Amino acid sequence: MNSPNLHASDWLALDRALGLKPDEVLTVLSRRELRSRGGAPGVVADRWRRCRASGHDYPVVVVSGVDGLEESAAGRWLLTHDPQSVVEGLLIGAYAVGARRCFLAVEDDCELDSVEGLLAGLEGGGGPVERLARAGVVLDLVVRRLPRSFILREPGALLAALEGRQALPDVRYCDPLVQGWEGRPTVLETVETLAAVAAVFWQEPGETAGWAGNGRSTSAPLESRLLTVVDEGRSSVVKSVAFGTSLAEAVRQTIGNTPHELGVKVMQLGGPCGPFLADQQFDIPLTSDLVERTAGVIGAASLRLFPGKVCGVQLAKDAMARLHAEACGKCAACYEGTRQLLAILSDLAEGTASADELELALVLCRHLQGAALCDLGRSAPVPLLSCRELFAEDFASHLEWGVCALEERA
Amino acid sequence: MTACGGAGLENPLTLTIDGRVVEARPDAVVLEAGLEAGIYIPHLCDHPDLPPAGVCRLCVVEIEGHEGLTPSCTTPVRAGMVVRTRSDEILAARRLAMELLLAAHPPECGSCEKYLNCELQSLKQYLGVEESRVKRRAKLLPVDSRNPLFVHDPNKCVLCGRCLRACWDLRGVRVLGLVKQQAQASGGIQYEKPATPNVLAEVSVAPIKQNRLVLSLADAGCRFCGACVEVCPTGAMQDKFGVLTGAERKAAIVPCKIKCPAEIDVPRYVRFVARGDLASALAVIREKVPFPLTLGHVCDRPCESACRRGELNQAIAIRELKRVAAILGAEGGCRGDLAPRNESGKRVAVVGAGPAGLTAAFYLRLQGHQVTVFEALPEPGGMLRYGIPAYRLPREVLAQEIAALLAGGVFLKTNSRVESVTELLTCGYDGVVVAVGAHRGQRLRIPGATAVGVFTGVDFLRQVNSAATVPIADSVVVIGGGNVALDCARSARRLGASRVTVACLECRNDMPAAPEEIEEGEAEGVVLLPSLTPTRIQVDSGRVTAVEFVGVASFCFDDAGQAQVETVRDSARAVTAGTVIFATGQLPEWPEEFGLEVSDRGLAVVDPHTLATCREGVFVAGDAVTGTSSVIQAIASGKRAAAALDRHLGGNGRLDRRLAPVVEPEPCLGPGEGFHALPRLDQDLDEHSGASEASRCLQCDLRLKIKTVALWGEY
Repeated sequence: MNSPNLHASDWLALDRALGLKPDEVLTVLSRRELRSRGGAPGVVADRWRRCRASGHDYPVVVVSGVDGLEESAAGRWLLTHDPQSVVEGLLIGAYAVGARRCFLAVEDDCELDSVEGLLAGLEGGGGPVERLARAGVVLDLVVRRLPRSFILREPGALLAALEGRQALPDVRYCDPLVQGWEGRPTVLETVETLAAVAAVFWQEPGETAGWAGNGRSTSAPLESRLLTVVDEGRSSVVKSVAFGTSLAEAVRQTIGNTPHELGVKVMQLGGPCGPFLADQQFDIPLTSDLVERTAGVIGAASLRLFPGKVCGVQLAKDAMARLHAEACGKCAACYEGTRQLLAILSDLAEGTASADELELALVLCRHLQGAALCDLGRSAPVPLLSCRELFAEDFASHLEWGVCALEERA
Repeated sequence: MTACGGAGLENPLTLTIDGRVVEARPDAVVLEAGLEAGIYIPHLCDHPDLPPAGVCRLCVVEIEGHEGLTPSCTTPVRAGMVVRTRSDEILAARRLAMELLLAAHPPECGSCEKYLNCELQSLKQYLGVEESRVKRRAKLLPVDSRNPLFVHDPNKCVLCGRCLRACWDLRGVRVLGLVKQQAQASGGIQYEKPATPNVLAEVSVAPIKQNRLVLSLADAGCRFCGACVEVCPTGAMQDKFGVLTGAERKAAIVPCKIKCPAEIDVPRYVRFVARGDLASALAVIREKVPFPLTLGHVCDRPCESACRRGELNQAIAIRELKRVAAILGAEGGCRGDLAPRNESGKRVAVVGAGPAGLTAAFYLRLQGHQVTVFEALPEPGGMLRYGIPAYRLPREVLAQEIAALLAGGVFLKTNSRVESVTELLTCGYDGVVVAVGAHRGQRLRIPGATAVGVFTGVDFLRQVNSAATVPIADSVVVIGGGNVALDCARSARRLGASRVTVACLECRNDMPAAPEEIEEGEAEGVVLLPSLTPTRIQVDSGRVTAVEFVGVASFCFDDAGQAQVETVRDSARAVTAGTVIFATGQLPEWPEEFGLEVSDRGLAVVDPHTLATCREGVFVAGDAVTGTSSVIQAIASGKRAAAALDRHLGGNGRLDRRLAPVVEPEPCLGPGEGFHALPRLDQDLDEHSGASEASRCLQCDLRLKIKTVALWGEY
């Protein structure tokens, strides 16, 4: 991809923000009630105010372009399709909270030509860095490439990785706004949130344009979320989907067909930690925090389609296997809990599980929800519990008859 | 976390735990508040020296106003907080957490080295988790015992993460990490993360570098400080020496200090050298011994033989560092006042001005007694002067240190042989330390042993060191394999003998002489003939002509100290010799009527602890008690006798004084890239190379600063 050819006027959002005092920047964001897309949920301005209120001399801004999954590509998509909004949002954030240091965390295979072109342009005369400096902000911006890993979606693990530690969740980062990177107050946002921040300042008041492709002229980022749709056997597709759109319609907008047309009866929302949804749930509307409400901060704005007939037990087992493979091992609740759940689900799939074992599985699920160190473990029971609800018949059949109801039906 | 006693808290706040109102530091967490108030809350991943982790979930409690259970190790106290540490729900959650921890832990404790010294075992009993609902499995990961100091058994690891935090947060070395390993049927291990995550992989602690697994701790940049072993609550990380307790444990962890007969705080002065503070390093040495520079030249350094770094690559050059500290640290005067604090009005006599006698005299003077040292020979120093050749211990060094020692007010009478202790006591001395040494060389009882041209080592060296002309033949045979034998041989070479042979019972590798003495001797042309025993000295017209030997298959010493030798048949040989020197041991030379009880072997009979004799107020120190031994042993022995005599005279017997500043060592060591392979520097050290050498120290003593976790039985 060619570097976007930029003119001074292209930094419109940043210029507008720099024309305001940092507090006024926060006021603008509050007025628009901009909520975060991915990561810690909530109103962006509220979090940034907390960081500012720490009074620390050197708050840090961390921007996560980490997707953590092959299938969820929103971060990569945005960094290649609209890097400028990301960088502008980042600089506005740094200005608003008074940060001296920023990290842009990306995955090591992320196409960064355009970002690097942009960053090279930052330093030039009249460039954003100079404009920031005139506004009194001397900024150190570091792009950090990290190997793809699901756990990096966890804020603590990402901060640890940026400190040169192993990417593992850590209680030391339980409130990054107070104690984050190297103990400093840290604002941690996804690239998508920051692009939305830029859009707030880039749009004329009342204007509702947003992104599409390499331009700055289409659908409304403020009222939408980048959704990845994963269809078995096909590559993932990323699309900006407006809030309020039903999930079935979101799929149609993204890949051209509704789940019904594709013969899809089951979807998994929110990545490996998210719930399975049956077709009667496909009309749930997309909201800014739908994913995080169901799958936790580690959730991804993705829909995975499962066409044809599927066995609920097999689905739950595969989901658990995936989660156990991603479990970092730092806390026994998650690492050992997912392993035990996987063993029980494997027995159930084989038809050798007892009712006691299934009972233990539910006890383990409750334990995980309360005792796991991070949202990977706390949300790990979500796929299983949703399957058990949706496919009660499959579970009963595997437990009582040792065979799948699907086979019975066939 | 910060350590804090129960009393005298600054601005404590109060909270309620299990219905009891307790005080806590404002920066404490609930777990600390409970434990400090004597309320036991089970915990595994938490450790008082490490940042909290909140991963084991054994310490969960109920806090009023909080939903569900909260880990007490990560929850700060708040005023008015109401905490419950016991309920059915809490117990159920703790038991399930424990079952998960134990799912892959070997079920049998009995065969583990840590049995009864294991926090995990104790917690298992506390929580009553014997039956397990969860599926148990064996991890089947290979045990890593490739490094010489530690054994890592990942199968016993419960992933509490203490070792990781010790390595990263406490020490800053950053070499341990969590790694997913694929256990394979062959028992081998595949280290890369599998392309498709395999659910049967196991997470374990392993050495990493830049977040990638490496083959060994050394490669990762480990400093072998042992903090990981120290904090491991179970048997996953252990010392190669096994599980020890109490004094044995201390001795095994910091062997250099314990192996020093004078208990010099080796890690402390090595640390000062590393910091470039040589004056303080010298002060640490002088807290324990009066001859730092002499020891820096001739100590037989039991510390270095025990040094744990030696197991890694090469021991720290502790003696050379002592020499550097003694020379450069003394520039501008020694730190610390070593003068009597008050006069006791007692008079004591010390018999013999060797290292033991002079040490005893020095400390007795420090305790305020009037000390007179009687020396039979013309110069003070004993074996330092008349045994050890000048090429090993320059005479100026010795003279300077003895002069400094005597300057404290000790009277020395040379050429004064004491014939009787009784006489001294009747002369008005209130106490006597006898340190006459072992100056009577032993000859083997073989034909020709008393012929002209046959010396004992001690006589030979005394003549050499007295600068007398020693009649010596061109070919010399020294019998014996210790340092004295090498001293004799090398001195003989220096006197002009062209063919000097050292013959000893031991095989080459078992020779008791210091290896560098042997090497340097060989370099000077001394020929070694190990595994031989002399049978006869050939004498022609009253003069020695040769020594006959037979080969030794094996030998041992019987209870009387006599060698029992098994010889090799038909191995007789003769070595031409004009001079023969017996370096086969020395015994004290007791004047008749000396007045002390002497054993069959000719050694003084004393109380092994106080060195007291049957005569009141008379103590014996040094070689006269032990037979030929080392300088540092003699010094330690002289000190012990001085302490005992001081107590006998009404003093407190406490001879050590604090001379060096008390500096709390920095627990953070930082990364140790290439640390394991740093070569020993022991040639011509100066301040900088000395600091480099000292920086190789593993600082084993830092481990003793790590707190131990109290088990529930102690609450």
